[in-house]
Amino acid sequence: MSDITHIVKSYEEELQNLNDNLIKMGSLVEAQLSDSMEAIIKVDKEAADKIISNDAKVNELRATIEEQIVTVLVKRAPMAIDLRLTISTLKISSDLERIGDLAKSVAKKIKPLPHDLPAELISSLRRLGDLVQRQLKDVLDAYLNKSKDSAIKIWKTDEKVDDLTHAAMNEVADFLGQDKKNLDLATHLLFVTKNIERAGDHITNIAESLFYLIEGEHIEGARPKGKDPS
Amino acid sequence: MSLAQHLDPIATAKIEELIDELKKSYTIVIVTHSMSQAVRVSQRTGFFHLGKIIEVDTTEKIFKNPGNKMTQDYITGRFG
Repeated sequence: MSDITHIVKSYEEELQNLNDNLIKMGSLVEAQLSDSMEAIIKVDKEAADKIISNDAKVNELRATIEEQIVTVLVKRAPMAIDLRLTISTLKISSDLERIGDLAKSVAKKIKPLPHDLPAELISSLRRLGDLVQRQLKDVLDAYLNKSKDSAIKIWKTDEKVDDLTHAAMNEVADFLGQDKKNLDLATHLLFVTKNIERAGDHITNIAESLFYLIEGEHIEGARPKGKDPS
Repeated sequence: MSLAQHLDPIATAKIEELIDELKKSYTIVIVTHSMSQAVRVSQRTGFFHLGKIIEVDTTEKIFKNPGNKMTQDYITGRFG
């Protein structure tokens, strides 16, 4: 990052607007994910409807960011840090949009669920959801602070997400084992678990994009993997 | 003076094509303030400022991730 601004003020403003919109999108997606976790734990169907309708706002922001990026590429032919910022913003906004979609998918699965799901099952979903929410908050903070150390730490934590997903899947399997009539509900819960895990994968992608933005290089090595969640 | 200063895009393209052809047999040194032209035609780039060599590296490295802050500030239009 540079402490000196561009000679052309409008270029500086264009990059600043892009950055502001990405931060705005990050906050919105963070709220969507957090609301969907809260709604699934409480089986709150009204909250689910709100999450589903709010997804349009996320998509709108993503479209705005994409337009802004195309404009910057055409008008400015950005170089070095500006090029990396533009490319990383495009990738991060795409991952944020996918996390938004996954929050919406979780919300859609809430409607058929009863209020008396087993406490162990709810606890394991809560543990997984809490970790993924914390990861998203941390990666957005790391973006604001341009912290490569935080990016690496978040990247490594995906292993724990895999482990907690594995544990949650086991709880769903136990729930199904108790009564074959639970098949429909268990299928919904498996999708919920998988969606939360995939949100974690997108957060790891964001950490990778952030590292590239700061360092101009990709994080070396394969992603740390936990227990196979599937 | 820039390599293809004041030329229209077709004439500029012809010069750049000629450079592409000649570079198979010759080492060509060009001096330009056009960042996009430097990226297109060169394999190695040197950044000079007030008579001093600030940084020399592969063109890809210079324009994607330069090692020197002054190089970065110049090629991103933060000083000229």
